Amino acid sequence: MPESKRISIRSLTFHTNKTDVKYINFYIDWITERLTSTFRGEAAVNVFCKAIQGFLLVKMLFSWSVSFMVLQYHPQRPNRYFIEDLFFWPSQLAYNHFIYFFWFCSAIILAAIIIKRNYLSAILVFWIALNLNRINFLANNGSDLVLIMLLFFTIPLSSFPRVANNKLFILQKALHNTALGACQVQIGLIYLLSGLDKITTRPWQTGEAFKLVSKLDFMVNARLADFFPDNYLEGFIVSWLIMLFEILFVFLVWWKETRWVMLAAGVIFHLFIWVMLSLPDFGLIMIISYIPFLAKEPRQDIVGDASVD
Amino acid sequence: MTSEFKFKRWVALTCFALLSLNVLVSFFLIRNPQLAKSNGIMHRYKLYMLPGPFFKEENIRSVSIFQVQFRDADKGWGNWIFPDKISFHEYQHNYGRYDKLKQSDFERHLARALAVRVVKDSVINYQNFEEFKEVNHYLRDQYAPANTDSVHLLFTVKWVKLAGKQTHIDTLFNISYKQD
Repeated sequence: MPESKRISIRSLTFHTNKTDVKYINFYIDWITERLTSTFRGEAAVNVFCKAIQGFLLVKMLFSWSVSFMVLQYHPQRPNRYFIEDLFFWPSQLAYNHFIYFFWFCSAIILAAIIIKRNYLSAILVFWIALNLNRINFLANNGSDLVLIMLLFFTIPLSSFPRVANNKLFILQKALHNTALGACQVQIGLIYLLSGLDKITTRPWQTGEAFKLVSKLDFMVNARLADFFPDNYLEGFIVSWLIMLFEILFVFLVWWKETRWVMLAAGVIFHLFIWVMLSLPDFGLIMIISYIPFLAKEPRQDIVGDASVD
Repeated sequence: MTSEFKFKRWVALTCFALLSLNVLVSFFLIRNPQLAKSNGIMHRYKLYMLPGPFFKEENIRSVSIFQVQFRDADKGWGNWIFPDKISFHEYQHNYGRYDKLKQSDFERHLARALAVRVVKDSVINYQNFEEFKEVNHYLRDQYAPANTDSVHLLFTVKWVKLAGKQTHIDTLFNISYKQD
């Protein structure tokens, strides 16, 4: 095989020729360029980080009385490990000194929003969110889980202060860009999970799910209940549109031509959930999660030789 | 190839591998959701990195109803009240009262926690359950009139069946007790 290279990875053996090697090198160069050349989507990332932290602050301010109530009537169970005591000491502080805890958290989150985004403030806000989640556990919903996930990604996305060491700087850019990609992918996968679950269940297949949802009187907006799809055809169409949106989002959001359609559909979908199903926090956090998809691509040529002939 | 370029490649490929691994694990969990229930790490990963699915069939097919009745020492039993619905209606009248929406969630989950415990450990000795103490403490402070001497708690789940459109109701607990 004069034109081929033989590659062995333990038991896995396969053959490549020069063209394949060029392709592989091209894609490795492309990934390297995407992840290490620059901090991608800086403006969108900045808005996203501030919006997520702002969301946490607003949510905390609006629901502080419930947090106090939860602490009063649902005391925390003792931690099993010392590390948990250490990590969740703010929530213990809340149990004994709620006002101090409340002002401490508000001040840190507010400061994180006002000052330039940086690793320390992102870590602190994430830590506070975990402690708040522990306190409010019984009053939480899906939006709190999405919030924690997104706040976790804001840590590598913070990317300030910039490091002076060249190799660390490369690592900093790579972590930033990977976190941006992970954030986008995870949102898509959350939709995919919901879409695939729906498509395998009868109420969503037939469209009867809307009739069932309209009976959830602890969440349906009574004033707008008439706007739910009424007959089976309407229910069927809307149900399949939702399932198609959820399943296709993760595949179609990457292309410019289809991205705007998916994001616009998503905003309408979440506004519907916000208003009709009394889930303002879930609707808002999902809309905020679209901000990373607005990141503009830097105008740079791809490193590496694209030609394979 | 310079050492810096080599380092760049190494970092990029490591990050890409991590990202791909994350996607693979997520797909694996989407295909095998029961894995998240049996493994602690996977459970946490699923909970925080891949929340959902939302609006599952069992969640939209059932409506839990928590109702409470207080007995006045002089006047006898009062009307049934639905604590979570009271808070929810307050939110519906004023959308700025997000705290009422969260209070409604808290009340529903407090009652559901007791229902889960009763189903798991039976209703015998319910007064020793932490979940019962929490519900009782909460109701006494938030809803019980001044002269209450007894309380009646009822938690039911209404299931809507699709085929014949019939509904059936499961009673998870129905308990009356003297107020302390």
